Amino acid sequence: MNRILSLAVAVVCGVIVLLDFFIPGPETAVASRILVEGVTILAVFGLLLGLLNLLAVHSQRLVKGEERRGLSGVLILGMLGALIVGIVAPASPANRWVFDHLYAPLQSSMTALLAFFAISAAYRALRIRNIDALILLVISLFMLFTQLPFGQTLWPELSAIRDWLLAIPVTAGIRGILLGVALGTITTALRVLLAVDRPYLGE
Amino acid sequence: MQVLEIITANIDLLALLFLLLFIVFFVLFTYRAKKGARVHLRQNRLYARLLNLAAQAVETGKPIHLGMGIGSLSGGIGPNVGTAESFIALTVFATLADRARGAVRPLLGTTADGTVLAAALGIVHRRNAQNGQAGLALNKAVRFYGPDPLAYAAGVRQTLAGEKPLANVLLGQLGAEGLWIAETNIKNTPAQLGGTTPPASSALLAVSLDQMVIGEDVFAAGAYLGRIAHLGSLVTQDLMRVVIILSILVGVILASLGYWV
Repeated sequence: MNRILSLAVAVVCGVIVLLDFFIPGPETAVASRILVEGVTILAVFGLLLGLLNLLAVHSQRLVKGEERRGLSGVLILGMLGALIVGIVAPASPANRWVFDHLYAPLQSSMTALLAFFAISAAYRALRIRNIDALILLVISLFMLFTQLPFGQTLWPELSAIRDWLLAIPVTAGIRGILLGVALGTITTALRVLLAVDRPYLGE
Repeated sequence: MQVLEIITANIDLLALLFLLLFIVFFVLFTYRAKKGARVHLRQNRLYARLLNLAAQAVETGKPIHLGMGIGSLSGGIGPNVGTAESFIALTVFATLADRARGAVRPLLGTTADGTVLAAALGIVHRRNAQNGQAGLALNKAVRFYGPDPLAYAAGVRQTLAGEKPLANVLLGQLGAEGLWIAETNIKNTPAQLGGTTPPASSALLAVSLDQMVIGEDVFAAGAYLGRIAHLGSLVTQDLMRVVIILSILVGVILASLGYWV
């Protein structure tokens, strides 16, 4: 019974939202809005579940005295600290300080490291792999060269070649990928909507 | 009246017709696939290796790490939501859990989203109940690391360093954090595989992973991993691609003849 009810709820909800998209009307609009708002509320409960999961994993590690338990302790303290400050004083300077002076610099560092990771990965790929890696490297170096100021001086037609590369082959490739992704997304949605896939039943 | 004007005036109707055609083919080919109709699949080395790794997980007792990325099941509109990619990640998670049944710890899933976590926990709970192990701790199989790429990448990095899994599989909605995870994990796992759909992230992951799938191949995971019903949807996807190609060709001819301004 639970199974049939879950299936029916999932299919009916999906059909209502789809109907509202194609045949907009006051009744479907209200029903669709309620459903979409319901999803947002459920997502918040999902986040709460996530926090409990994080707390369970790291407190177990701390209690059992596993390797790297110190880092787990720091994580739990940081999580609870940010949570308490956020609940008690959401608009306080302390809450803002955590994001401005801890979180933002960490995020910037991660972004800055990406350039080095990309270079090390490309180097490794070139050493051990195939012709694909070579093509990737040659095109990357060429595109990098076209962005340099002295490149234009050395070869005035360079900007026209770069613009052509970006407008024709690169755009064609990206549009091809995006069309494929769109088809895949529709297929995945239909599988859930027509109950071929039932992730809400743990299947 | 120009063709472009007619299309613009009836865009919703055309989209509905496209969807209805999609549904007809989808139902037809899924029914045929379930009845045992043969579908030819070209070779895909990544999915073949995944099946092989699932068998190895049973033999070695080491888990496979499946990073399901930063996508969410809670919907929304935009290129970075990743709802469909998250469904595929869950399909792979469930299929590998089935394939590696009998292993002590077949899978270690990680996610940056609470709704994906809930769905993955549901899958693990159901598998454990089927195996008569309903009391097993669920948080050993699926872990959540903050609803943010930085927190997710840092958490996964830590997990991989501690657990040293058989393979690191990154499949789902991933951005630049995918490269960060893969590059800092070279020494921890012998195999790194995966796939994602955003073109920019695909380029980053392509240089770092041993094998990967991009674009629509990500959505073919279920069919390649042995889900019969997914074969039908894969055929539909290919057929609708032909419809789109033909539409583009018709558009090019009309534009060349001056009807598309």
